[in-house]
Amino acid sequence: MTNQPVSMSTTNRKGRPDPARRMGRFGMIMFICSQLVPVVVLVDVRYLFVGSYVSAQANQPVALFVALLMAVSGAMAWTVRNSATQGRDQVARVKWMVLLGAGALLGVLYQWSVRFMSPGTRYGEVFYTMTGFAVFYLIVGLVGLLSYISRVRLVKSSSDNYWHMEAVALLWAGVSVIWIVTYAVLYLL
Amino acid sequence: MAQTNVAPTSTRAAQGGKRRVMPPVLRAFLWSGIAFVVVNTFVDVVDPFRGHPFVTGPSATFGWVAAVIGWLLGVGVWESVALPLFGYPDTWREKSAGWRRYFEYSTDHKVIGLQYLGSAMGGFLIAGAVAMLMRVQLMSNHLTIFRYPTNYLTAVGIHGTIMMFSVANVALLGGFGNYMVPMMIGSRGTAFPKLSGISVWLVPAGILTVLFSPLLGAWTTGWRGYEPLASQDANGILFYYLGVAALTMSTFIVALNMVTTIMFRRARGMTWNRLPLFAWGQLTVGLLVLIWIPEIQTTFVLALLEKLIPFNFFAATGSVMSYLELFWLFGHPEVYMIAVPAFALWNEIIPVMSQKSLFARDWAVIGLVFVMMLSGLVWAHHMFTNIRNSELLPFSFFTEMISIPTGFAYMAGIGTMWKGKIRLNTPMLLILMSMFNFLIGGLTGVLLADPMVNLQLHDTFYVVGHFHYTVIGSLVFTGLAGVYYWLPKMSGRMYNEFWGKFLSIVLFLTFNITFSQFFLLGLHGMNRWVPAYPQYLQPMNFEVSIFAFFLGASFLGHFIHIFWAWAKGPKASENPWNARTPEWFTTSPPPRNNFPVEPEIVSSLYIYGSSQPVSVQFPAEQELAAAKDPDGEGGPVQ
Amino acid sequence: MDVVGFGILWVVLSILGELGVRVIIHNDPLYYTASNIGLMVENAMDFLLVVLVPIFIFVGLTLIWSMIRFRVKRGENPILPEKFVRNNKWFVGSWVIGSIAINLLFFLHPTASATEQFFAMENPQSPQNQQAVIVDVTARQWEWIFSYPQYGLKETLNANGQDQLELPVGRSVKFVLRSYDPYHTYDQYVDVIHSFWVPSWGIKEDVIPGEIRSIYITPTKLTSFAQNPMSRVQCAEVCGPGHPWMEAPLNVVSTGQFQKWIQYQKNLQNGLS
Repeated sequence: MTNQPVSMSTTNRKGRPDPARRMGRFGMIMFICSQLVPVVVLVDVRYLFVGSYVSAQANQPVALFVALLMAVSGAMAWTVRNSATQGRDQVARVKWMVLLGAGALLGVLYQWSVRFMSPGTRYGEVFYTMTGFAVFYLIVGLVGLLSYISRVRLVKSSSDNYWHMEAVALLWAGVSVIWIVTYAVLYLL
Repeated sequence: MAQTNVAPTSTRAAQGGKRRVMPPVLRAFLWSGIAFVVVNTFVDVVDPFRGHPFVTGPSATFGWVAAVIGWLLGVGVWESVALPLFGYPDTWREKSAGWRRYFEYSTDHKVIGLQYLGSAMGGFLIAGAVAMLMRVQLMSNHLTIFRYPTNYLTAVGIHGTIMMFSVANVALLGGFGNYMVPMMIGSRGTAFPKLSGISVWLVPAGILTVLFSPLLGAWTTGWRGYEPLASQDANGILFYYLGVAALTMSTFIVALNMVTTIMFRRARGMTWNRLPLFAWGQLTVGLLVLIWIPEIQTTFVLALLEKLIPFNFFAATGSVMSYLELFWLFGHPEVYMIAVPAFALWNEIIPVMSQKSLFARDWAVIGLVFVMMLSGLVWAHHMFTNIRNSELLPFSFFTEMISIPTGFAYMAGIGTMWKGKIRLNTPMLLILMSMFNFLIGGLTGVLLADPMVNLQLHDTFYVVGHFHYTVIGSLVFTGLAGVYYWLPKMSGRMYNEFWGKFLSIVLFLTFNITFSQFFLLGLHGMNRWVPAYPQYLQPMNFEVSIFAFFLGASFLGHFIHIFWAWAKGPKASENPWNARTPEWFTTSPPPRNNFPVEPEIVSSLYIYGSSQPVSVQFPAEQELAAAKDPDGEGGPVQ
Repeated sequence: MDVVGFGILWVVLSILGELGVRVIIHNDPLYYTASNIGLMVENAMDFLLVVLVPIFIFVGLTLIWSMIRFRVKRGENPILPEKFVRNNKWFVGSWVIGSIAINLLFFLHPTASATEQFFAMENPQSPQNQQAVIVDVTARQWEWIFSYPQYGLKETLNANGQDQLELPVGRSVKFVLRSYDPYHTYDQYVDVIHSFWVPSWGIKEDVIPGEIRSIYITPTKLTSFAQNPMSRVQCAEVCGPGHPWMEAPLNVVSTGQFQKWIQYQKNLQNGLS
């Protein structure tokens, strides 16, 4: 029930996060949840068109490596989010997240560029569609992380009570979940 | 003259970046053009399978993405959001007055609301003009003004797409949602004003994309983009997908902003029991949007890839039906995204104009919520002619049942009017007309909900009549009512009662004469998407067209009247209708932060009576503080 | 009393409305019905109209009644009572229960009953369907091709060289619907959704590429395209630029006439080949 002109820098009251912060979190979580809808559609498409078939051409080691990178990165994002609520800057860790994310991106670009999978096959269609979506979200997430790294050089994180950091960490955690689901659905299940 | 003007502006721009060299919209066009050409050329260069022309399917797609980003940055997002996001200082100076602030990025939800309304009105006029062309064509049973049938079908697609995604989804949600909902809940702003300031500029981008889609070739599918026809079409269909992507993104952001605003920024005392119905409508629709808009966006990306790569998901060798299912899974909730805010607005305006307590408010809210929940269970009634026989009955069941919660909106409205003190002015008249038209839309829908009757009526002009009754009947009539109702609030001026009523009556009559005959045409065997048809249907079509032109003219008349009232109308008092919702407890037009101080809601907004206390109060100590802070800034508004 | 006056007016108008519905039913709300399924659709529609008219009049009348009876003059400032009625158990209760009851009624009849009837008509095991004339319908962009495998006819044409559908009256017909293009130069399976619709038969069935669907219909009237243009096969789903012209005349003739026509088509086919 906030009606005061609000800014993200209001201090905590009685241990509860201030309303503006809760509002931002709510919006970000709603956004991430809504982006699970495309994932559901794509998972449907996968099972509808190819069942649980996994192509023999699929490059399992690279895919596993990419998924692991994103899993580690996502776990780091969660710790960054926790630090944000406690007001600790974690720019070094965010830089590592970017690195891991860029590694994952390169892994997929490698898979695409050598065309293990023909886009003319059913599994190939599903593969390119699902990884394409994942890459799109990854790029959005990377822009977010880079904006934080750039911002922290010029402005103190405490100026917005670490909200920027928390927001990009939440977003990145969501992106890594999408990547892990994509990997599991494409290669395991 | 020109030279002397240019020199000082550019030096000032060099000094502090405070003066902009160019009007933002112009800069947006320039940046988007440059971005398109650069990225288009780049894709041409790297594309190993490039065809002959300069603008190919892939290059147009990537070029378009860059163009939209350029467009958004150009209108002011560059200085106000993009740079600050990366830590650079915010050099954007938001204008607080003047018409120019409507033509650039803004974080004032009232400016954004009017930008949405203006875009919706622009889209309505464009798509309406296209409809007039279609009616000219249909005056004869063979091709006349359209040289090829593809041209006519492209016109149908443009009309439907712009009307659906940039008018129906925008006017009440983006327009009145942004403008009114924060004020109705007593808030001094929205939850995500920056996001909202960006999203509104996606609407003109989307409209222009769809409007100019024929530049890449005609497309024949209508607004639904059915596969596999869509992947046979020329590249124009790409701009359909992309334009819709921009428009739906805008609607999505509106929903995110509205849901969060209603959840977190209600004034003190604005309990869920007191929440205005229009806010309830926005909340329920917001949830629909957050679920189903991402769904259709994904589907359209799949369809885009189907065309571009090409994939074969939805071809004869894949599953044609999957596209239909995915489309209508969104397609039916879409109908309620359009209609639910209208239902809510009926019960917003009726108690005010009847000066009577809202009847059965709980049921009205229950109706909105249940419509929302059931709307996800009815999609396959658009597919009775192609689903399995065993699937007919369940979908028919839920389709029929959804009329029950819809009816609650009528029950509340009728109960409120009964023995009320009705002031029959233009907004009230338009609401009554809207209820009447939607009644026809709903009852003709009962026939369509019956699978057997549907097998005959599906894909005929009967269906065209039905959905024009539901969409124009609910959204357009109610939207106009909303414009007249809130005109004194938004502009501080009053419309002319005679012209308002006169134009409304003309609109009502021409609308009904035009579209009621659609039912007869459909029953008589007129199918959809045809620029040519059997001779025996020609006389009635000719006559329908004549009335359609009058209908178009009466819309134009309304718009002219509204613009006149906005600029030249007599001054209105602050609360001319004696309404109790908080938006009326401030000056007209409202100040930047809506209220001088934080309002407090002290009694129900919908209970009328001689001894009812005023519903909105401004706490005294805050008034005192406001006196010391006369600009009403009160701190930074995020 | 407003309630009583309203009630009387509603009953009177409903009676008038029902009389109007009788006239419409008498003249066939579907304009022209010439098949067993069409008759069923017509019955369903008649029933729905009968029930819907009083509902339409009830709601419409409340709007008009309120508008006239409860309006205050311009500029007049009425004195509001202390409190307004904000709920009425009887009104709300009967509205809620009434709307649920009407919808359940509609679901049972005509929805479920007519659909069951339809399923029975479509049962391939039923005696008349086992005797059915089989017509293979091929929808391509943009033409309906009719072939009669029982008679060895590949494509039936009329004197102008247009595709023509001709059927005996009173006998079940099995349409086997497919969408593909036998004349396509390199890919027969490139085709789109069409919809097989005969306006006078009261039914349409979408023809989906990659699927084979069948439907049984019994024409009940001797008719021809020349006699009533609703007697035509029309594509009802947009299928590209040729969509408006994707139609074929339909003639329903006596059994003897049908045999003659079959013979004529056979001669035509042999003469051509």
